[in-house]
This record gives sequence, C-alpha cells and structure tokens, in this order.
Amino acid sequence: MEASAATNPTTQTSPPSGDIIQVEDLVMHFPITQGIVFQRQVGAIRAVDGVSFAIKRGETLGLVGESGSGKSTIGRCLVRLYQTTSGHMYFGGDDLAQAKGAELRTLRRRVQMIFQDPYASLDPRMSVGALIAEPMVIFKTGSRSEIRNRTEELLTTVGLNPQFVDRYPHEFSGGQRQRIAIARAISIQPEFVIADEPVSALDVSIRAQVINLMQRLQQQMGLTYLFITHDMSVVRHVATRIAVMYLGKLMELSDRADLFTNPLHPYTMALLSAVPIPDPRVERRRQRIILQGDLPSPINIPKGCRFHTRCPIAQSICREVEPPLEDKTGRGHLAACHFSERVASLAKGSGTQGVSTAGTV
Amino acid sequence: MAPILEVKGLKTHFRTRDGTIKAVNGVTFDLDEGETVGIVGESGSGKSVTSLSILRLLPTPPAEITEGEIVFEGEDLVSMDERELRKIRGGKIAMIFQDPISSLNPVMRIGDQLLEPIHLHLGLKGDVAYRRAIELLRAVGIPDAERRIRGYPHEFSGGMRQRVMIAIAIAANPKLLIADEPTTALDVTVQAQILELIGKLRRDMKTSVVLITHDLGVVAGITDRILVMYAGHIAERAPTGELFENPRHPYTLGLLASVPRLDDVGVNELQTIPGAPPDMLNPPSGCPFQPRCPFVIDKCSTYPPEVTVGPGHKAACWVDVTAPSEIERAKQRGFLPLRPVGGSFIGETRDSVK
Repeated sequence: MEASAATNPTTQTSPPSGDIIQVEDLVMHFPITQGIVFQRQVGAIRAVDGVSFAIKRGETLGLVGESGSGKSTIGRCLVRLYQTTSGHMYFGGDDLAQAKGAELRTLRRRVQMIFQDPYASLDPRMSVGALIAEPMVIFKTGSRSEIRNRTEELLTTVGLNPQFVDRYPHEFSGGQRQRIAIARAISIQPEFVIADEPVSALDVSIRAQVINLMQRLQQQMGLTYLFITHDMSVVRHVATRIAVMYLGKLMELSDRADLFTNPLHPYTMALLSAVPIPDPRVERRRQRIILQGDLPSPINIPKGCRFHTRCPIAQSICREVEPPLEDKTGRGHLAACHFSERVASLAKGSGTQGVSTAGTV
Repeated sequence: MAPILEVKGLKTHFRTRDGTIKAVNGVTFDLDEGETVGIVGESGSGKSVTSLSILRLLPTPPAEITEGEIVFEGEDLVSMDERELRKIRGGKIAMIFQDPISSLNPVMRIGDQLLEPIHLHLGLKGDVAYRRAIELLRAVGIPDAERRIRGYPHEFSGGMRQRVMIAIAIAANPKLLIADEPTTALDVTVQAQILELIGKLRRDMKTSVVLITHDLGVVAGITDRILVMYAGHIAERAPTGELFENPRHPYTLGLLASVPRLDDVGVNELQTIPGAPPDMLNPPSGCPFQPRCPFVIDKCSTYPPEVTVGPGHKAACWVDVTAPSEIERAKQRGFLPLRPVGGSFIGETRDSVK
C-alpha cells in the first residue's frame, strides 16, 4: 500500500491550474453485513455513487441535496473520515483518497471542516482557548505564547471578546459556538474549508451573522469553501457554483446565476419550487411542483435515472438508461437528464423561474 | 363571529434552581373559526411554550401558568380539571409536533395509535372505527393504506410519519389544530407536501390552525395573520400581507432583512441583527429587544404598550419606525432600511447590478 502511494505519479495527476480540488468518480459504499461470526456482505448503502466535480481556488461550491442524498458523506470523504470505496480526490498534486501517514497529516493541515452542530462539535471539557489552539498545538505552529496570542487574535477575528479565552463552550450561545468552531478551523490557515450545514442549527437572526463572517474570512484569507447545505436560499447567497445531489449522484452542476434562472434538471426545478419565499404576494402567485413519494432507499437505487420514480417528466427511456452528467449549454452548465430541454416548460407558474424573470417585467 | 380561542394575559413561568424563567410573559391573542394564525419567533421566544400552555401539556413543576386565561369555546382551560381536559386534548384541540419519530409510539402499530382518538373521542368501535382509520390514512395521502395501517413507525419515512401524526390529530375532527414546527424536521420537497396537506385540511374541514414556526417563508404561504414573538412577548401582530409589506417593529424589520431569500441575488452582505436573543434568566428590563435595537431610546427601559398602527396591526414599540427622522437616527447606528420586498423582486436586474 505504501508503494502505491509512493509510485503515484504526481506529475500526471496534478489538476489544471485554478482548480484546488478535483474529485473524480468518487464512490462511497457502506457495506451491510449479516451474521455474527462470519459476517458476509449482503448489500451496500450506496451513499455516494460516482461523483465528479472540481472546485476553483477562492470559490465557494455549494453542494445541495436533501437528507440521504450523500452530500455530507462527500464532505467526510474529503477529510478522510471515511476510507473511500473508489475514486480520486486530487488536492494539489496529491490524491486525498490514497494519502497515508505523514502525507495525510500534511494534507489535513490544509483542509479543515466546520460541522453543523456546534453543541456537539466542541468538547465541553476544553476551554475555548484550548479548543482554538488544539490544531496549532498538533501542527506545532509556534511557541506556547505565540499560540496564545494567535488564539486571542482569532477570537477577535471571529467577532468574540479575546477575554473569553478561558471560558467553556456551555457559556456560549449557538451562534457564538459556531464562531469558535470557525476560529478553530481557520487557526492553521487552511486553504480549503468544508462547511457541513454550518448555519442550519442557528436561529434566523444569528444565521446572517455567521454567513457574513464566513464570507469576510473567505475574502481576507483567500479560502476555498465547499458549502454543504439543504437550504437553497442560503446556497444562493453564498455559493459561486452549485452542485445538486440526489441519491448519491450529481443531478446538476452550474454557476449560480444559471442554475437559478435556467435549471436544467427536473429535480432542481422541484427543489426550487418547494422553497417557501418569505413574501405572501410571491407565495400566492406560485404554483409548486409537488414531488410524489419519498426518496428511494440508497440500498436499492432505481434502475435507469435514479430520479425517474418521482420525476414529473419521466419517459420510458428514463427507466432504462441512466443519463450522464454532461454539459448542456456549452458554457459549463452540466445536467444529468435525458429531457433537460423540457425542464423549462415545467416552470410555468411554479414561481421558480418567476423568481428571476417575472419580476423584471 | 365569536373567536374560538381567546388567550388573555397568559404568563407561563418556569421555576428553576437558578431563578424564574418568564418564558411567556403576558401574551394575549384570539383566533376566529377557520382562521390560521402563525406564531413566529426564534428559539427561546416562547412560541412553543405558548402552544403547550394552551393544552396544559407542560409539567408543573417546573412550569406554571401564573396568570391569564385561555378561553376555548367559552370555557377556561387554565382552571379546567384534568379529566375534562383529556376530553379536549386530541378531541376538540389536536396538536402536531416537530419530530414525528419521538411523538409516535415505536412499539405500537400505526393503526392502533390512530384508533385511540377514534375510540376515545368519537366512540366508534370495531369495523366502523377501523374503516375510519383507513379513510384517515388515505385522506393524508398514505398510499396502500389497508396494508400500511398494520405497520410500525420505523417502517415509515419522515414525511410519512408526519402524515400519520396529522391523521391522528384530525381523527376526531378537531376545531383547533396546533402545529408546532410541523415541517422543520423535513426536507423541502416533503415540507411542500405537508404544507399543502395542512392547507387542504384547513379548507375542507374548516379547522382553525395555530402554526408555530421560525421560518418566515412557511408562514407567508398559509397563514391569515401572524404574531411575532420575542422573549416571551408579542412584539408585533398583523394580517400576513400587512406584516411583510409594512413591518412596524424593529425586530420584525431585522428578521425580514436578515433572511437570505431564494428570489434575491446580488446582495453581498446580509443584514444582521447584532447580538443574540436575551438570556431568559436575566432578561433586560423594559423592552427585551433594546440591547439589539438600532431605534432604541431612553423610554425603552419601560416595556412599551402595543400600539395600533393599522387595521388588526399592532406593534409593541415606543418608536415609529416609519418616521424619516427615526430612520435617520437608526442609520447612524448601522441600521439599513429594509430592501424592497413583495412584487418588486428583480432577479435579473439585481444580477446585472452585481
């Protein structure tokens, strides 16, 4: 195994300049086993089932999908909380999927993660100072006093009083805890930050503060974000490009403006039409595309297009042939649908396209 | 038309070791027959405690309704004894909770849980009751109801469980349905299904609904009126359209401005409400919003009375937030006037401006 990592020809696999990370055909299957002594595999949860995308340096890629779509699994694969089943995750010249030992440690320093629930992600027995300093201590970025100074500086950066350094997480509100988690993540100046639903557990009035903070830090530190969320309104605000995931695969990948004005996948269209808009006049005008049924089980993924069981425009070919994720416009707007040209007609009155076109008249 | 529910000066307090938490601190509102009222607020605002107080579902101690009346169809629920209350709970007033997995009994079949209110409140037995249960499951959109009625909760998805909860809630044809964050645990596409279902039931059964949520988008679509709660008080109340078009409380203004909207691009920085909701053990004296409020004046150290600012529209604020001089003053404190909403959302022009 050591050998395979060592012989990995970095010159050939290095991504084109501009991309900080390139995910190629990533697969993460969780085995389902039966039996106690002789465990045999009887199936697999196909959480991520062949996903490819690239993230440009300095951009925010929004990864959206509903629960069970596999979006969080991708985030966890990228920091190697899971050993991936197959596929590559090129970061600079290195493959995160293959990295081991010292190489993995160096890579981890450059990739950090922010989790959804700041009540669970911060150790309640560690002081705020210790929590923020931990990554710096692990990577030995300086002497104790240097780390202490940097910790206080970080607290100021995320908008907390540096005198809080000796307090404990329970003394802070949810929004403040998320600020601490952010300070911890940026303490070793990573290049790439994976934020898994970073504002979903926060109250509305606090959410905006944390979003603004993340955007300010991105500008100041030149961070690249993978922003994982289920909230289309939030992703519209933060992301430069957006990937829509359904049942382990990407359905659509496009820059923000294109995705919202001209969605090319019926699932994206349904998602957009389902989001309530805090405005009664708009709400009254809208007609929703109500999807029938529930998400199929990731153990038993439908044949053909995995969305066909709920798709309002599915034809017989959709039950047989899985559509590839391909560029539909020639301008990098990718969609995995046989009938992407018909998606626009779904929008009549759905209020999703209305979002961007009707209002202009 | 006489209101079906009148809540008058409700105070629900929690006595804890560290002190008294005045979770609901003087809440008054009523609800007409067939009306849907939304209660909006953040965590700790008292919206859920208000709804749990209506059905007296909070354990005493620590919770205690220290003052106020809750009059439902002419009877005060606060002074009612437990036996009479049981006839009302799940009968005339039903409730749906946020988390359908913890509100369904995991070791009881769906059918048995659904038959409970049918036996208790409708007095139906045997085949008649069973047929009614299947009808209810069909009414809430559960396919293959004859088979699914024998299933257990874990065999249902989140959205389907919430449908079962709704079926149980409407089993005895309630006059009033209280839905506490009914879609918060669900995905958007499923949320859309459930909201449509609640809307349909409301129209078909003429049930009054109290919808409690933190999501301004959810209330915008299906309510007639909205109450905005903050730190145990009603900060503002208005008909739904009026609240969004003409908000008059600084907290409502801040809330509307800080929500990222799907129909909104090119706003680079979201407006924020500075600070955090108050610690309910030691709330600020006077208006609880004053430490975060850009419109704050000296008078705010006394809790403001509700001022009528339009038909059915009241705000508990000393300041007229529409007065140009007040807006100027607030701007000095970092307040940004609300961006235009309603009809004026201009996706493409905003895109191009950016």
